Amino acid sequence: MEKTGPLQPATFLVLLALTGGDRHGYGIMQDVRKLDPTFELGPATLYTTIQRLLEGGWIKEVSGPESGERRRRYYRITREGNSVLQAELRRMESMVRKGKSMRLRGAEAAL
Amino acid sequence: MTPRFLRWSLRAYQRLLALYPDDLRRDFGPDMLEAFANDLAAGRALRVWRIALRELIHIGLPAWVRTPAVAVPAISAAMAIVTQSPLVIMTVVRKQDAPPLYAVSAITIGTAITALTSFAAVHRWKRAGLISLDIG
Repeated sequence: MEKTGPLQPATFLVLLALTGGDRHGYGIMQDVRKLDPTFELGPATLYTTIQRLLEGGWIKEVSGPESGERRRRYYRITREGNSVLQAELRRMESMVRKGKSMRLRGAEAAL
Repeated sequence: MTPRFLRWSLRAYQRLLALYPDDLRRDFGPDMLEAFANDLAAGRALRVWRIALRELIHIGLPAWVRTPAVAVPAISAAMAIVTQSPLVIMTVVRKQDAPPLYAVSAITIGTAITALTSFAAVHRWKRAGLISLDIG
């Protein structure tokens, strides 16, 4: 999967959650809520995103510890997914820097 | 939240999963249900249901509408209405029977366009691997 433009919020947050280590689906959902409490991630958005990321090779399924009746599937960010995430973070940092400098220039002009 | 409401919610969500794309339901249906159940158990029933219904509208229904079983008849019906309605309107406005040759031509051309459009749509979906029909 090629990155074309900014990442969708769900994609960005799921990748970011997985930088903390392997997670199962519900674990990702909980981490995303901690990362951005304003973003409402439900099961369908989560698993549509996971499906797309798996197809694109940005994350992969790994074996996790068995617990309960059903084996939970764990996911891990791949090298490609990590580089996409880093690129997105750089893009966001650049935007924040530009935004701050524009605000500063605006404040100077108002004086 | 009562155990009865929890059971009802899980049954209802399981039924709603049928409206999501086949591949998503097949690969992740049990996981989606588990995530929904965990959220409910955490005690945020109204929020969980609000998010679930919003996702159904934004993800489930658009995918369902794009399936051939819904889209092909819808396209066929729309095309039939577009192509046949001028004849009907003309007949009503003139308050007389349309000339037989004109009527036959209009209905034949309209039906042919409808059939070709439906076929093209189904054939395109088949080529995209979305459906499997033995239509060559």
